[in-house]
Amino acid sequence: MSLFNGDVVLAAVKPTGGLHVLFGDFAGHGLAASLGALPLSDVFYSMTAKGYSIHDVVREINRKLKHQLPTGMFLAACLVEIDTINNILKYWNGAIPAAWLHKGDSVVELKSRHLPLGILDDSSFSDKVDIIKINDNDKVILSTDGILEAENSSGEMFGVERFTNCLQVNMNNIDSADNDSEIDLFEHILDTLDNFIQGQEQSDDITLGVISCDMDYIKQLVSQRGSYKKIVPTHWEFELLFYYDCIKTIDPVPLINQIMGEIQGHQIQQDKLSTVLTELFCNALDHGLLELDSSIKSSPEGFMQFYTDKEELLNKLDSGSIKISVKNIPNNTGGELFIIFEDSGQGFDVSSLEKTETDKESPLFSGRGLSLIKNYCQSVSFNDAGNRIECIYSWSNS
Amino acid sequence: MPITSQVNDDTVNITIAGRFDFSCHKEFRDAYRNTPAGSGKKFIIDMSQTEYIDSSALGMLLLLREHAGSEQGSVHLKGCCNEVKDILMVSNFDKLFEIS
Repeated sequence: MSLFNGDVVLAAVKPTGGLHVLFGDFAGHGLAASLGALPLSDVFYSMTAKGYSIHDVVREINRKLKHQLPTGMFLAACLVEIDTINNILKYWNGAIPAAWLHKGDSVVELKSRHLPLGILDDSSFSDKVDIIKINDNDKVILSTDGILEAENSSGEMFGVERFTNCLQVNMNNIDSADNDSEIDLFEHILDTLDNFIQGQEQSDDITLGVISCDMDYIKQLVSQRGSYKKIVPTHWEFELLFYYDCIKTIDPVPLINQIMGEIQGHQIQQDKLSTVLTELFCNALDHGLLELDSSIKSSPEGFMQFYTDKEELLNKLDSGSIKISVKNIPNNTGGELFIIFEDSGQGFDVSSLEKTETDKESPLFSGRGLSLIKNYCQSVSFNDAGNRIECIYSWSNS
Repeated sequence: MPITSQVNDDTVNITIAGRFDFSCHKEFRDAYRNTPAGSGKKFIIDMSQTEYIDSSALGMLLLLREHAGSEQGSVHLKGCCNEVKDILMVSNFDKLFEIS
């Protein structure tokens, strides 16, 4: 038995309401194997809190571990992001052999497509994430290799086949189980493992996690964050302009949050505002610059197609820009933010939007982003060309 | 752990029998450290008798790769059984090593 644990589990809520989870296994034994845990958790927690997405987080972790750990020490890790706005699971898996998504009627493997963290230079590192559509209460099962290599008294290993079989069995029972089915699945895996090893002492760490994609629960976690020191609301305005090549590499939402945090001392609650900014940016990019059609998202295949097309078009993008401006008009308890997103695209027929709204009979496959923005903002208006949107968002520090 | 090595004109052949884990650390390093870094020699690791590798073994392979100059193809892992290959593949080590 090793005295120190090389396995690490980190979880944090995003300001937009999503959840980041990291399952990691440092190579090696003893205290040396846990050396990287401090820089790792530092990067993970601070970047998640600032609203960065997992591809940015994983790149920074790799850069830091590569820099700080000696050759031969690395971290096998799987990062998952549960996006509660779009109901998708994003994951980056580097050498974690046991990661699955349990969808009630099927099990999907979250395949390891990358080398462990801390091996490659930043220039050859890939932060490409995989995306899967999820439904409420799907389960993410994460485990390090300790379970797969758990041995019984005759030296047989638990292995991938027993693990996946154990997930299959449970699937049939899940219908009859109540809301606590995530506990059932966790206990069921442990029971199956215990039955197999029969008390045999194990040589490696065993870590198992079952994350329930309970969207409402994850959303409400955001509001439980700590409060910040109050700074008197002031007058300010800033404008950012991103050209096509910059758009390929930057996520402007954490940047905007950071600027506002510096000016206004993090008292603008970022959860809803981040949602608004994310949706505004996606609209400007997807429909304004890339001219993607959201209606293809109506079927599961189309949904995946949308993201594949987006990646392809974004790679090819060779012109265009998005201008973002944010202005604060303070009042006694907070202020009103005037947020403008203007893209260089063709725009769209604004009157068609009003038609869809009045025609309640037609099913709304797309436009969820816009309805979120309307829910959270005091007012939303477009210019006639349909390439500029202005929103007013009220905030309060009390 | 029985690790044997043989230095030829342009290759260093290292054979690892049994379990390749942390306990082989010193022995494995001794098998290549006398070949100076940047000698241009190709390292061929015969893993046909290797029954199991763990994450420390993966780390040791990375150390060897660095010693050999970190270029694609400078280290060849030969004769891996399916179990060993699985571990190398799930870690995507085929991007760093020639594996057969």
